[in-house]
Amino acid sequence: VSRALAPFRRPAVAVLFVAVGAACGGSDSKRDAERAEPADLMAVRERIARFERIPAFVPPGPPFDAAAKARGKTVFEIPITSEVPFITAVEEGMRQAAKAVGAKLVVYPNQGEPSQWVQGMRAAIAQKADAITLFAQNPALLGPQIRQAEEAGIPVVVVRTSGEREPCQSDRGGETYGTTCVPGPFEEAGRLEADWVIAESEGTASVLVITSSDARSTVPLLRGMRSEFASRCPSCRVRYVDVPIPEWAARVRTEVQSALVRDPGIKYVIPIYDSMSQYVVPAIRASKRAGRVEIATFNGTPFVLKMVQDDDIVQMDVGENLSWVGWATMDQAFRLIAGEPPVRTENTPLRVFTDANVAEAGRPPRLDRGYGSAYVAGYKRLWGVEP
Amino acid sequence: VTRRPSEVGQRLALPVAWGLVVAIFGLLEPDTFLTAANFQTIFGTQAVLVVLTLGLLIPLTAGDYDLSVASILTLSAMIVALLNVDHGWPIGWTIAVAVAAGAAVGAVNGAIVVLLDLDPLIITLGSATFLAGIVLWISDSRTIGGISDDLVNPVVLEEFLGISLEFYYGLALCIALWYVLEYTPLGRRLLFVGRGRQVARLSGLRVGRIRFGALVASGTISALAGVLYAGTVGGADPSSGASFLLPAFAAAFLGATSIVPGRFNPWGSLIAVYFLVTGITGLQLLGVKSFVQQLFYGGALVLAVALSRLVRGRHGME
Repeated sequence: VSRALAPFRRPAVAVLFVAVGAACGGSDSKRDAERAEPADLMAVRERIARFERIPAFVPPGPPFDAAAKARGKTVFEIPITSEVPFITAVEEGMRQAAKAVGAKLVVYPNQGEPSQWVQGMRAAIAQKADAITLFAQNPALLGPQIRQAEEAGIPVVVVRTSGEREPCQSDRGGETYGTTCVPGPFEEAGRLEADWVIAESEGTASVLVITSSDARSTVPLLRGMRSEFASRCPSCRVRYVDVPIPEWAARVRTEVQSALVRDPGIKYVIPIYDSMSQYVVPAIRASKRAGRVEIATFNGTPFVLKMVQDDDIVQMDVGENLSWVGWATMDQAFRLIAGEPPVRTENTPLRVFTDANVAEAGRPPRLDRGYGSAYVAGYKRLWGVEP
Repeated sequence: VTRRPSEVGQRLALPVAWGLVVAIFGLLEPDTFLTAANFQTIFGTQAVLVVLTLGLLIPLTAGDYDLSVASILTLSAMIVALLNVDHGWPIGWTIAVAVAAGAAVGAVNGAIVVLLDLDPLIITLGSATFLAGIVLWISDSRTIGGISDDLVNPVVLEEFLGISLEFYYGLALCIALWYVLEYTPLGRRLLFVGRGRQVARLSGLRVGRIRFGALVASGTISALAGVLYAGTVGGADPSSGASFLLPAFAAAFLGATSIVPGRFNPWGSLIAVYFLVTGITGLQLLGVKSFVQQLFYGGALVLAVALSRLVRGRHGME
């Protein structure tokens, strides 16, 4: 049925990207000082304090008998690339979860090339996997293969290409890519980046935000950040600059330095993903603004957490427990294998790391430290593996 | 001409190595590797690389490097995606425009190289970068998915003997190119030009015209590879096509060590592509770390160039 409509399918992604690209092309959302309202400092401080604590497990859906239904089944995982530690950490969590119920996890290592994902999909179908998880790559580049998998009766879970409050990524015809998805907490991360800056500046922040509109997660993240600045700190001045990921090394430093020259009032830089910090920190140093300009960011990458521990430029990093993300991905896959309805979101949590609690991430920081382990017992109980 | 045993060995070295790789992985994972489905995957997913490598062979045979082939592939895939998805053009017309664009880029490359007598390595490196910029510009750095089934069906979804049709397109191009290079005066002239430009010129060949034509051909065929790529993934993105450049050169050089040793040749290249992908697939099925794949690919390239240098010995390729 869907094939007849295929020529009319258009990816919504493209539209979203254009919207974001146009909106952040160096635009200045400076607001009139006259009609400035006081910032909602109470609320943002309360939120930061809440997210500084070790997260609790919130069951994503009803319990089900994963132990019986998923035992001996094969989950085939194709990541966007195998070359970043982030992915390896998630896959370690997936492996632990598979072991907990006696399922098999097959990982398809690759170097981030769509032609390799295509091959991985073919391999998964050939091996008659019981579920396929696509981790973070744009499913628009696997349209034909996702369809082949579903025709072969293999459910496909698209992981982390949408935010927690938006529907799963779909094409222009509105048809969802894959059977279901696991959204990431991107909107919340964007809100927390804004919250910290609002709280630190007591509602007077002048902020430079560096975005990368070529990553899918940027759309929900910026939505969260913009709405937070708009509602909690109308008098904050926020300037957005877009630097695509392949150009980080070449452009981030110069963008930051020239922004600091143009507007010496800037006191905060938010590189929306923390790996950009390695270019932002030298820019702040070179501009002789160390100690006066601070960074708030997101991802909880160990080398950036170490910057929080070691110096005074990176002040806050919102982190995610990647092992937890792995367990959550498997929860959704197990639900599909067991014939249960998929859950809307897996509630994977975020934690705000500042000088106050960053020691808990380890010295040197590790990807799996600082989040507690509530999820292990939580998921095991949910799956009927442990009472 | 009678062939020495060592020459026969050289001819068959690569197919034998391929057989060895199959045997090793077959022993390691008989349940997954030695299945029809796995070989259908191996054969059915590399047509883009095969076609790109075949395009590259033509200027290589004429003694010229073309570093712009992967960028032409990206440009062509993006043209198909943009015109079909964003502007609703029928697939046939988008393919025509994409292939024309590839030929035009090849013509510009060729004109600059031949008329100004410049090094094609530098000129095509420059045009590759220029094209990458054009692709980012026309696509707004977006990934565009949702290409019409009119393209996706005849490329990946329809199969013959369990293998996607794209494999047979690559095979057909290989046969055509082999025929042209081996059995037509044009193919012979191309080879003469590659072997010795001065001698070819003194023998009355129009060297400039032949080199120009070779670059137009590689541009056109690279654009066809782009069309296949767009059909394979059902979309296009502005960056990933570049990742085909090194494998295409690796396959061309590795192919030059086999079948017709010392000469770039279509069958050798075809076998080289499938040799490399068999090794990579086996490693992926074993679930080894990603870096091992790069050791295999990079190692194969160095080995290929070293071997082809040794094999070349008396008859230099230029």
